Amino acid sequence: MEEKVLDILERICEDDVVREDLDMDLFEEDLLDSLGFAELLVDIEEEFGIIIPPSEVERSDMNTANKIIAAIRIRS
Amino acid sequence: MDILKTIESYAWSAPDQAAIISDGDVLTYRNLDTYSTALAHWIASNCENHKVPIIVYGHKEALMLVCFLACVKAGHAYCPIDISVPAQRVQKIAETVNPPLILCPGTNPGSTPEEIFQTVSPVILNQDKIQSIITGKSDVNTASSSMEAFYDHKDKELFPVTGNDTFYIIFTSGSTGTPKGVQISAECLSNFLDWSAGLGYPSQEKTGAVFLNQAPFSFDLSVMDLYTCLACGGTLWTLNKETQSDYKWLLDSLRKSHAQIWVSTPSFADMCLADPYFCGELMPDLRLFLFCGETLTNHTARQLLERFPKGKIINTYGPTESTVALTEVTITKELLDNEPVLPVGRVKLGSLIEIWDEQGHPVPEGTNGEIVLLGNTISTGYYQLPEQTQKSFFQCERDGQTIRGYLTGDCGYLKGGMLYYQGRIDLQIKLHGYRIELEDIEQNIQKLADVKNVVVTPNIQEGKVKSLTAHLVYEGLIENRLKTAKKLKEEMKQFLPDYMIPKKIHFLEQIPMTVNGKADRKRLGGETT
Repeated sequence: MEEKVLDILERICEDDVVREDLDMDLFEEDLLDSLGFAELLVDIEEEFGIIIPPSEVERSDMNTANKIIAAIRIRS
Repeated sequence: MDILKTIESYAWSAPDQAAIISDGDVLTYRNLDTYSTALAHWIASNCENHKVPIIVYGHKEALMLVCFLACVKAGHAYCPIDISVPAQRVQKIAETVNPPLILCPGTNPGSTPEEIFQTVSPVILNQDKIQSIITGKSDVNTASSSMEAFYDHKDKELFPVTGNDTFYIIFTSGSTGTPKGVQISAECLSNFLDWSAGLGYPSQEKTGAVFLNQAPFSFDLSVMDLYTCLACGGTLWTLNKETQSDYKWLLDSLRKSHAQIWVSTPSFADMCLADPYFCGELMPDLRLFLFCGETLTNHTARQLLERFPKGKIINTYGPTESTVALTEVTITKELLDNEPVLPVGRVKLGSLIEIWDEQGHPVPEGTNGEIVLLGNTISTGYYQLPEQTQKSFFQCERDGQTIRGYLTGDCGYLKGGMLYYQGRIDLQIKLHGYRIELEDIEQNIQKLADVKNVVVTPNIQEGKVKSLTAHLVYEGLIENRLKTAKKLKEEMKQFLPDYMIPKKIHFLEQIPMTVNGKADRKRLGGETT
């Protein structure tokens, strides 16, 4: 699952740097913006069948690769 | 349709109907009309230079509308600039326009209008001054310093913009690095509204309807919601920058809006679609989606039809130079099944579309070439740029009538009168609805220290530009690629609006060249995707 999440992130962020530090703040580093975030949630739904409504999560709960992986884990 | 007369008639027939609701701030048709007339009188007696454009600087405040209408009622074109435009770019626009007056109806975070516009030093009216003028309590250094003097003005006749006079000027990205101002005349806007008011369903049924405004007023997509709304006697519900940045606020605002007509870029709809709560239950009144500004994908349209079974989707096409848009097509289930790449529509009454080859000759149907637009909504040209105007605009005879034409630089073809868009011929791109000249970005990045050379390429996924990459020959120290990239992006913010800042910075030793000695954009583009 982790690998798939990183694949998704690499595609959306258009940078393999996302694999180097899983605690990096993706918004802070300009790798994710609101459109990218929307895309990420759509991809998570398609890949894992898990729906995470963006209006129900704080951005600060999903701003690193590790937090995104954890958010999926809780819901699966 | 004479929009000023139409608004005036609503001020009589439906005075208490809200014309705009912005952040809880409600402005009725009566107030919109009387306030803008009051401000117009002030402008008319204080700006002797008739017809010179006036800049209106702000965001989504209800007073923005008062300012727009006041300018045109006083015979001046207005030029809207959103607060998100960086100061450097605002200054360039201000220097080009050289306005006698700048209206700042918003509350500006950061720099004051006086600081931003110091290089042109015009008269600046801030929110307080505008408020006191429109409520008749003006004591600003003017002839109309007392209530009586002010009301005396009301007997004086105003000479609003009309016919070929410019109604508004909207600045778009220019390949030289300096934005160029597209002038839209009163007549063009009027012809546009005759068409847009009837989009989807009859204009009479739109009386009192809520129109959603997503785009900032300096982006001409906003003309589609703002003036179509006012033309129908509707209420404009604005989504400000802050609301759009947070899903909770956004969904809350959409729910409260009771919007019947949605106007946005497809990218914005995509963003909303990421939330499962964005559906017919959230917005039960929604009847019509109007899209413009970029490619509407089959996927997005399909999802919207599923989520909003009662909604009708209309795709439109047109550059700023042809007054927002001039084609329309209703996206039905059948169309989605038959056309993987959606058409952009059939041309409206009063306009013509031709497809030309490189020599400027019309090509047979089905053959692709440059999309050429003709008819009654074509701009009168770029503000004070005769050379660029001559390059893109022309006059010609069709059916015994002389009409204006515009070479779009867009590539496409016609099939049974239906237009299909295939991208750009030159280096202009569309990103999230914003029109960008890649050279404009390059010229501005060149200004940064230690940048020796730069080429910007679009990253394309599923036929749509997703983001931009700047390929940089950088002479500074690169300790950490990401950190340096972030620093450079931060520096770019002085010169470029956020949407024009490349997402990815790609450092390289030198820019690869084609055999002709030009930057090899294809190879650079290929390297990153």
